[in-house]
Formats: sequence, C-alpha cells, structure tokens
Amino acid sequence: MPVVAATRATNRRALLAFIAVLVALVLAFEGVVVWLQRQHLLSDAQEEVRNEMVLLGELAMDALLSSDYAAVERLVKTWLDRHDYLARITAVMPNGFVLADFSKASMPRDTLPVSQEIVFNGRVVMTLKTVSDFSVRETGFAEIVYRATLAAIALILLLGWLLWWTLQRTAIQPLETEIRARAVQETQLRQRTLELEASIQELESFSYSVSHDLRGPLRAIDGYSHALTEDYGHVLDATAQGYIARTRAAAQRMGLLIDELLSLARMARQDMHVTDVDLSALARAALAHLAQVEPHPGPVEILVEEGVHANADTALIGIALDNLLGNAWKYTTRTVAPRIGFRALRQNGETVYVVQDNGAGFDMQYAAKLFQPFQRLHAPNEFAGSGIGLATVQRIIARHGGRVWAEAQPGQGATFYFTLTP
Amino acid sequence: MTTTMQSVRFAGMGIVLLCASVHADLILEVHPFKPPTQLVAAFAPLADYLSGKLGQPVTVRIAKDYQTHIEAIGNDAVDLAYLGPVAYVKLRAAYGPRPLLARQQIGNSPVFHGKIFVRQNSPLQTLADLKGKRFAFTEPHSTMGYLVPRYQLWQAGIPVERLATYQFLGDHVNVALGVLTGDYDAGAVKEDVFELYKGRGLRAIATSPPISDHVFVANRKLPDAQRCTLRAALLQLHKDPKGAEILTSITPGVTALVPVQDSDYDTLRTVLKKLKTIGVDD
Repeated sequence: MPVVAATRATNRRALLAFIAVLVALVLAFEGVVVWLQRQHLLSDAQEEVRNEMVLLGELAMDALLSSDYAAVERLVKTWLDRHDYLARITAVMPNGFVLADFSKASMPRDTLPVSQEIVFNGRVVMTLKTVSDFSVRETGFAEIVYRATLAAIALILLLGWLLWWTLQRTAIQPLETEIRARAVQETQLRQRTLELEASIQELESFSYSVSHDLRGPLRAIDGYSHALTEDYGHVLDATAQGYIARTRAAAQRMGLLIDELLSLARMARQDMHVTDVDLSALARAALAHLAQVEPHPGPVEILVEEGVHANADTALIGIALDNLLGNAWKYTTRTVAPRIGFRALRQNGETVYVVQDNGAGFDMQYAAKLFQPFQRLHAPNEFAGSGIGLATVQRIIARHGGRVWAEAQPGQGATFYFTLTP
Repeated sequence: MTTTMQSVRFAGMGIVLLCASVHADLILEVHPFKPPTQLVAAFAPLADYLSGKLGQPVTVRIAKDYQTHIEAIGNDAVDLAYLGPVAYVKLRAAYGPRPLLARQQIGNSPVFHGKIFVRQNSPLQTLADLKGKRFAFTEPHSTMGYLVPRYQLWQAGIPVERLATYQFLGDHVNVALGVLTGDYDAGAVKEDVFELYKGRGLRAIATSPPISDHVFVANRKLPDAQRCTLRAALLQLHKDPKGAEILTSITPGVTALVPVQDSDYDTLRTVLKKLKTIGVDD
C-alpha cells in the first residue's frame, strides 16, 4: 500500500497546484473586474460632480457677468454648505485669482478631485475645482470587493471540491485499483523470482556436487588405468594397452568437461568490478601464453592493435579473450602461414572489438549453434575442445551488456566481433 | 396764581398727552446701506438701549432711499437719524444746521479713509497711470466708493472720461474682487475693505483725505432734556456692559460714539463742492 499512498500524495500535490493556478486566475480576473468597476465608479462620480458644477456655474453666471463677485462667493459657500458630499470648492478666475475657496471643517478619508471649466459664449469665465467625499462610495465599493472575494473563494472551493471528486471517480480510484493489482502481481513475481533463484542455487549446488563427486571416480578410473598400464603393461598386448589408453583419454576429457562446466556456472554468478582495462595487453599476454603452452609447428603472424581499452571486469574479459584467441590459435594449427589479429573499430556509433584468424573457419549455416554449450562444429579428433568456450564468451559479453557474433567460411578463417556496455 | 399754575400744569399735561398720542415711540431712521431686515436687526440693540435710557420706546425705521432720508430729517419727520457723511453734508446744505449727537468711531479713529488700488503685480503706480484703464466704483452715493475717489482722480488729472470704462459694482467687496479677478485694472473702496482684501493680492496707489464717519443727528424739535439724555446715552454707550455688542451690531469695527461738530465735515464739504463744479452731484 505505500505505492498507493505515494500516488495519493502526488495526486494531492497536483490538485493543490491546480487549485493554486485556479486561485491565481480567479483573483487576477477579479482584480481586473474590480479595477474596471472602480474606474467606472470614479468616472461616474466625476461626471456627476461635473454636472453639478456646470449647474453651479450657470447659477453664478448672472452674478459673474454683472461683476457681483461677492454673490458668487456667497453662492459657492452656500452650495458647499448645502451639499454633504462636497468637501471643498475653489473658484478660480481666468487670471488665476482664487475668488472663492471654501472647505468643510474636516476632510473626508477618500476624496475625489474634479475640475470643471465654466464657459460663457465660448470663453472660460471661471474654473470650479471641487474635492468630493468619496468615502461612502469607496466604502460601498470595498463592501462589493469584499463580497466578490468571498464569492470567489467559495467558487474556488466548490470547483476544487468538484475537481477532486471528479478526479477521484474518473482517474484516481481506477488508477489506485490498477496500482493495487500491479502491486499484487509484483509481489507474486518477486515470490516466483525468489523461488526460481532458490531452485537455480539448488541446481548449481547440485551440479557442483555432482561435478565434484564425479571427479573422484574419474580420478580412480584414470589412476587405476595408469596403474594397469604401468604394472601390467608387459602382460597386456597392444590392443589391450590401446583400450586402456582410450579409457584414460576419455576419463581425462570428462574431467576437463567437468572443470569447464563448473567455470561456466561460476561465471554467471561472479561479481563484476568494472574498470578501465587494456585489452591490447590482455590479448598479447594470452597469445604469448598460447605460444608457450601449445606451440605451433611454424611461425604465427600476430597482429594486435595497440592501446585498445574498454570499461570491463578484468578477470571476465580476460577469460573471454583467452577463449576467443585460444580458438583462433587452435583452428590455425593446420593453416599454412597462420595469422591472428585483435583490433577495435567504430561501427554505428559503438566500439566493436574484433578477433580474426585465417584458420579452419566454419559453415555459417551452423552459426546459430556456435554459442550454445557443448555444440561443436568440428570433430574432437580434428580439433580438441569441450564446446564450452564460446558459451562462456557469450555469457561474459552478455554480463557486460554487449553482443557477440561471428563471420566465417570453411577454410577461410573466422572473425569474432563483440561489443561491451552499449 | 393758582389758576395760572393749574393752566400751566394743564398745558404741560396737554403737551405730554399730545406727545404721548402723536409720538408714542421715538423714531430712529437709518439710510438703506444694507437690506432693511438686516438693518432693523443691526439697530435693534441700540434702539433697546436708548429706550431704556429715555424711558420711552425707540423704533427703528429704514428710509426708502438716501434722498428720502435727508428729506425726512430736514422736515423734522423723524426724531433721530443715523446718517452717512455725504448725506449729512447735503442735509446741512439744504436744510441748515441740525443738532449733532455723536459720530461713529471705527477702531481708534472717528475719521476714515478710502483707498484707490490695483493688483499687486500691476505695472500701474500712480493715479496718472490710470488713463485709459478700467475702473470699478461701488455705487454713486458711496463716499469712499465713488465721490472721494472721483475727486482724487480729477485732482490727478484723470476725469472719468479719460478712463477706458468705469462701472458701479454695488458694494465695496465686489470692487476689491473685480480688481483681483482682472476684470478691472483699478478700483476704490473704504480702507477697512481694502485691508481685508489686500492680502489676496491688492496694492494701494492712493489714499483719500480723512473723512469724518457716520453721525447721529437729532430732530430740532426734540426737547433739550431729551436731546441731552440721548447725546449722553450715545456718548456713554461704549461704557455700557452691552456697549461693544450694540456698537459692532451697527457696523463691524465700531468701538465708540464720540463728540462731533459740524466742522468735522469740512473736508468732505470741500470735496463735494468741487465735484459739483465738474457736474458730479449725486
């Protein structure tokens, strides 16, 4: 169930993010609406005051035109006194003289200034400047904004809840059901894997003990056959001695097979330590060892490219190279002017390592069998071998995340390619 | 003797009875320098005060116009009158001397001045500069708003014909404001109004000679004792507990009523005579 809980947390985060975006959008929208509404309110209020001032101007016009300035002053004063919303009126004459400037005792909190020119016969005769009390409207407006904000929050909560509910019904619950089902499957799979690993281990220990236990009787067969030859060789004819020799050879070959099998089994389980490996050096060492242990009848042309490096497990890749070069060495023993090479090349953006010889080669129609254990393309009397080597190579390369393949023609030599970590 | 005494007594009683029936109230007439309702209200405290001193009701009456006012006093139709200086000079000229009771004192002075002024930033500096300019007067009867300044202009060589235009704006405040608004280049008002508006941007270019202020005149036929009582009451008014209130009610700034004699109006008399020679006779 922790997977379900984690999914729920993720869903909740996504939902919260969505609601945050929703809040931002709704608030931005509300902000714009509020701003527009306020502008509208302001211009309305200004228009109202302007109209009032035009009226006051008309009323003052006669007095103004007959130079009864005192009457204009009185009118302005009376007008201010009679209108609660006005906080101040200033009458400015065209020459800038302030004819009248009256204010209420206290200035309101929110004010709205308006200036209106009073025109007679196309000539400005006076400018009336007012400061109006905007507090009432402002307060009313604040009330509207307050309510709108509450409504927006309620809307967001409702939308959020609807969204959560819908999401829960349409996506989250089915998803959770699926996740639960998968979790069950995974648990089953893990269980099976554990069982499988256990049986593999069992099998391996079984084969190990079988191999180990087989070695005793084999050694006995070989040993007693040897003793038979040494102690009773003089009483046995050549045919009997030939049989004993064959018995010993068969026993030794079986011992070799058992060793190879054990090594192949270990290969699959051995821990990997990937480092930078000088493949050229490994190849040269392998070939030098081969030259010493299984000398060719004539000279062998060795072509190892210098400085070929790779990220690999030194021990494992060494075994793989030993096997590939060992094959090359083995299948060139009957070749005139044998030639063995190791190099690296770039192909489709990856490094391909190449082991090439001009030896016996093989028929490509059997290439599929090449890397299977105990599959041999040559008779044991033609070329010795267990049939395990290339299977080992295949496993090592696979454990490095690479591929291995071969190209060959009978009598024309063989070329083995492999890649490492992709 | 007894008979004589009695007849005298009867005659006396008859006069008293006659007075009581014809002059039940003493009439204080005031010239219409403000709307009548305002004037009645302004002079009511004074009438009450005088009633108390005389032991006889005093009624305030507002004259229809300046001329009627002068005629009423000239014809002894009112007991007591409050007169402007010009009206007094005209009364004296037309009807001969009248008993003077007191003249009004504004601030510390029983005389007042007029100012001819321009805007603070105006290039005009002297009366001679006013040639071809627009001038604002108050009204044709006004001492400091027309008559005296017109005399001053004439003396400076600017008869009104040499002005571009001149208008009567009705009251002193309008003249001050008319110059401030730029509708007129110069104007004339009494000093206290000028002082009130100076701060808003006015500058005086001439001051009038001192003119004696408003005066209280008594009916010639008023008994001496009553006249003496009236004069004493007026001259003592500023010492009364309600005196200041009564005085400022008449006209703001009045501090006392002080003794007066006909020669106090000689300066104005000269001005008016001169104006008459150039055809100004309101």
